[in-house]
Amino acid sequence: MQYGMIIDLERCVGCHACAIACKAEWEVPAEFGRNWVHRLGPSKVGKELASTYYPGLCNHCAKPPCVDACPADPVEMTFKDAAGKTITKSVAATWKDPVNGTVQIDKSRCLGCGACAEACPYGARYVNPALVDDVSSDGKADKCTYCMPRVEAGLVPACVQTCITNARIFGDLDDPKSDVAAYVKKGAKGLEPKGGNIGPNSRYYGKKKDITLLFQESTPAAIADLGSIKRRAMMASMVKPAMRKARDLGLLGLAGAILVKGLTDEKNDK
Amino acid sequence: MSESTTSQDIASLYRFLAQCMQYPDKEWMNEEFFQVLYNLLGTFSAITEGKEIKAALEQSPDYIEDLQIEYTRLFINGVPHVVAPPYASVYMDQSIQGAFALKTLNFYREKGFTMEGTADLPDHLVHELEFLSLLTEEEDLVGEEEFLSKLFRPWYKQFCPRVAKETRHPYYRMVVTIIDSFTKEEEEDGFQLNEA
Repeated sequence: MQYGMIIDLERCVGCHACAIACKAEWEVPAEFGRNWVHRLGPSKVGKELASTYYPGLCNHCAKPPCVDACPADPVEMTFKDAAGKTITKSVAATWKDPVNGTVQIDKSRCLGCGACAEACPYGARYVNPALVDDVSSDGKADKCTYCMPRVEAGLVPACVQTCITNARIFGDLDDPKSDVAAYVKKGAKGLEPKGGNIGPNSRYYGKKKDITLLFQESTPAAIADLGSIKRRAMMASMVKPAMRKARDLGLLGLAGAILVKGLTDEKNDK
Repeated sequence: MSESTTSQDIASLYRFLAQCMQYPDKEWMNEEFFQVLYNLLGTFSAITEGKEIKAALEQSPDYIEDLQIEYTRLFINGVPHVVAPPYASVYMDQSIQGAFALKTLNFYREKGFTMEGTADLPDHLVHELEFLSLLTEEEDLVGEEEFLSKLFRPWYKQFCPRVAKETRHPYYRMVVTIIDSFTKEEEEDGFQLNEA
């Protein structure tokens, strides 16, 4: 099973109701978003004028780079499918569910380091500074869950329910009889990053010129290499609480008196 | 809670690591210092190593003296020879205060820093970490990267395994390893202290 979402751009009117419903449902702070709608165009595509929207959200990728970036200690987690069969695997604080294919976060174990948010080429994750606990005083990573708590209760995702034109269609891509699978057959495509192969499961369908415009404007850049600067940033961010403590204890000032700013003493000494 | 920037977080860690490599003194190397260190090791999935250090401290009647002896043997004046002098020049010029030390000092000056009279040689590990801390505090991440690749990593990657292999105290093995992980370049890579 692989949950997926189709966004039918022939129906989308760019009203932002999906983004608002999501914020309301999951208490997403105003400045962040688990999903978003960007206006694209009007722009010339070939000989035509195109104008459409990019309603974006987590792609619950086949190979999610955000999951690999999580530095939290792994734990064994058991997943159960509808038939009662279980799969146990070792997961960090974020993982791809082997049963339903969604990418989820365990907020209680999230360190708030933001490495996953940095790794996502779509910008579909953010760190919510309002969510703090003993594990992280810097907040917790947050993202679209495909509304799993709602889906498990027999509902559809909040953005899907609220969409006034039924432009958002949710379902199991692995089920050939599903509406989403039918859209894939008709040519719905995901926004694969340049040169990437991560398999986004939120897909777009629409007029050729609109899809061309969407892919021109919104294809993410190649997946960022976790360069050494980023790696240091990640390590430093992980030990923030320890360093805060060190500073309180005056441990960060001691080594500092030796190198000083400004070329002053050097010549006077001689 | 005031928000610190990423550069400030990096600067703090450099500063702390510089402190860790100072001559042991009970003024700062106290119970609270070790709590911070254990906490840091825990965050880097090195709980076992933290416990190892703790055990080493607990079984000693005077852990400060132990660490002072080990510090001296490793870095200052060992018999028959110092295990791993913490100066870049020793590795790059095969001498103390060679051309590499001067290059290092010139880099400090280029960035507007100078050494206090009481300082050790410019290419001493503690000063280099301190300098990295000051650079990142000023958000000069390009300078940081340049200093690391040209003046720090070339000698540190020779220094680190020597200490790790020869030390008789888990404290120094862990501290040099953390510095190593933190300053590594991509091609060397390896984020985790414990390569699983």
